[in-house]
Formats: sequence, C-alpha cells, structure tokens
Amino acid sequence: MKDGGLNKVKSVARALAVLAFWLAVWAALAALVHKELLLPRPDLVLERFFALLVTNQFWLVTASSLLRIVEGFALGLTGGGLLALLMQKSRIATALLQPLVQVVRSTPVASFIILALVWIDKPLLPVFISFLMVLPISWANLRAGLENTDRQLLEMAALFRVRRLDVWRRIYFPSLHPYLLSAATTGLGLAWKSGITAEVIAAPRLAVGSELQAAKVNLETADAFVWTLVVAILSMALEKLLLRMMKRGKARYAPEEKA
Amino acid sequence: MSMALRQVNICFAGRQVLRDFSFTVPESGLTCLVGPSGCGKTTFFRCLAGLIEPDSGTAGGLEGVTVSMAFQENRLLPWFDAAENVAFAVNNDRELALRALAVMELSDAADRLPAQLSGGMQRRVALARAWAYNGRLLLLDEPTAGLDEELAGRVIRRFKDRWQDRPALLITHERWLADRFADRIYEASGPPLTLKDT
Repeated sequence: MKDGGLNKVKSVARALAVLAFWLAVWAALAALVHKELLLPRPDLVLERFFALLVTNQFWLVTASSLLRIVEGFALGLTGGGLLALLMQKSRIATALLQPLVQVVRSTPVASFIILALVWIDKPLLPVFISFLMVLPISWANLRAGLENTDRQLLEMAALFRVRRLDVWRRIYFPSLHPYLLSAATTGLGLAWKSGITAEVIAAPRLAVGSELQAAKVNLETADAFVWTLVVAILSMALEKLLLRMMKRGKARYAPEEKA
Repeated sequence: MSMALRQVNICFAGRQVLRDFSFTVPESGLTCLVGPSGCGKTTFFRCLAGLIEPDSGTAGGLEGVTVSMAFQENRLLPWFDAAENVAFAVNNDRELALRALAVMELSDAADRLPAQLSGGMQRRVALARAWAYNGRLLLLDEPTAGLDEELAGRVIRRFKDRWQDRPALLITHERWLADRFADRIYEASGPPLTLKDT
C-alpha cells in the first residue's frame, strides 16, 4: 500500500478511536446518572436518530434549516465583502458604517433576535440573524485583506495599464484568499450557532431549532440530543465542503500546488 | 511636445526629495543616471512614470505616454510563473511573454515560479515584462542588480538597440555600464536631487 493510503487508514482509525473513547465516556456517565431524562444512553439516542432519519419530516426540517443558515451565511459573507470595499473607497462611508459594524459585533445575539422578532417574519429571522453575525466577521477579514494587498504590485499593474478585471483576478483574489478562508470558516460556525438560536427563540415551522425547543418542552431529551447531533454533523460537513471548494479555488494561485 | 518636469517639488516625510527640479527627457538614446542610493533618482523616475503627483510644478508631455519600467524591486506576482508574470503586462499574451523571456535568456525558466528563481533570474523576469510592454518611454531602475557583468552587458545592449529611436533612462551604481552604453551620463547627488551632465 502506498504511503498516502496508509496514512489515510491511520487517520480514519485514529478518528474512530477518538469517537469510541468519547462514546464510552458518554455511556459511563449515562450509567452513572441513570436517568434518561437527564442524560440518555448513546444507544438510545442512536436508535432515536435512525427512527427520525426515515421520516419525511426529518429531511424537511433539516433541509429548511440548512437553507436558512446557508442563505444567511452567503448574504453575510457577500455583504461584509461589499462593506469592506465601500469603506476602502470612501472615508465618509467608513465614518458612517464603522460604528454600526462595531455595535453589531459587540451586541449579544439574543438582543438582536428579540428585537428582530418584532420586525421580521419568523421563517426569515434565522436568515437575518445569521447574516448579521457573519457580516462583521467577513467585513473585518476582507478589510484586513484589502489593506494588506501589496501596494507595489497594484502600482505595477497601474503602470502597465492592466485591466481592472485582471488586477482583481491576479492580485486581489490571491491576496484575499487566506482572509476569505478565515472569514468563511469562522463565519460558518457562527451562522449555525446564531441561526439555530434564532430558530429556538422564534420557533418557525420546519426548523431544527423549533424541534429542539419542542423536545425540551416535551421532556424528550433523546430527541434534543439527536437534533444537536444533526446540527453538529451538518456544520462540520458544510465546513469541510467549504474548505474543499476554497482549496480548489486556491489551487490556481498556490505556488506549492503548482510546483 | 517633449517630455519634461518643470520646477517640480516633492517632499517625503519632511524631506525635500525634489526641489524646483527641472529635466527634459531626451528625444532618443540611452541616458544614464549614476549616483548613490537615496539621492532621489527613484522618486524622479516615479514622477516621470506618473506614479506620484508632484507637490508643485508640472510634468509636461507625459500624458498618455506608455512607460516600460523595471522598478527597483522586481514586483513579481508570487502566485504565477515567469511567463504569466510577463504576460500580465501585455493582456495575458503568453506568446509575446515567451519571446520577451527568450530575449532575457530565460526560456528555460518560463514555467517556474518566482520563488524557484535566483535573484538574477527574477530580475530578468521583471526586465522581460518591461521589454514585452514595449512602451514609448523606458525607465530602468538598477536593472542589472544580481546579474554578472557579461549578461548585464548583453541585456542592456538589447534594450539600447530596441529603444534607439525612443527615450530610455537608466539608473545604475555601476559606472562601467554607463560608460559603455550611455549616450548621456548624469552624476546624481542629493537629496534634493541634482543632476550634473558629464
């Protein structure tokens, strides 16, 4: 077997061992507590998970939440990028918008959810909250990226009258890539956390957060564990997908991959 | 209308780099500026290239003039190979870029990234970019840094031949280069920059 394949097997084995360890800890704690209401056993949670997995409702709920979070995340990432651009071009825009972004950054998400509940329809609230949480992350990262783009390269491009599109493709995008990556990975995690919190509070129809809230109200702790597990799996899967997409984008610019 | 700077003043961080500085760019031929670092030669080039605005004074006859410049630094895009770096200046025309690299004796390095090239080779990629762009005015700021004497001579000879009917200015510390190739030599001192015709 080649080294690469062997390493992959080793890494999968290591991940499985870590998973087994934590499942054992969970099982031990559940046995110790011995109350399904407080801490259900892992086999019960898994059983419930597979029972839900075969229902249409499960897929509808999961897909609806996924769509809302992804929408909010994409809007926040794009909006932050546009804000960063606008602030780079205009001092007035910076003076006006910077305090607003700082306020969004430092205000607890629950405050926004409660305020936004007054103005926005329940199904749109998680989208708006995810957007609002991702926006300042994206803005801060991309602003730093724009500021750190090599001025000498931009000056060289100006001298040779390089087209604006080429300047973006060949100078800005490669320079911004690490900043975009950081914004995307941090922002995605935040979008999930804030979006699901918004769903729990607003309880829209067909939402993971609403299911979590229902599980709490009905004292179905195993269901609460299942939905939490679903959020964790989706969040990690989406992050992996995003990283893969960005890596593919970077391959066009990364020296080590061309070498 | 000839290209010229008239009564130009430029101040950086409280230091007067150009003071009432006037210079008319010769219509053709290679003009060399020889002098120590930090006397204002590069600022003079940047002003001619339109990369900095003078605090006062005028830059005449330079509007719309295309400028082929090799900066003091190589300014290569680290993400792209040598040919792409050159092509960047000429609407991504790779054929033209490869020809320019051949002139700089770098055909073998066309698909190598800047980090995989020696300092002298990187310098020649920057020179190939200026060559490929083929501007009306040529500005070379210490073009032969990192090149051995023989190669430096061949490269400068090619630039001189190609730009014989257009103005070309060159900054160098290497007196032999100026003595061998220049049509005019100015001794530079400063700041503020002064040029003495020798």
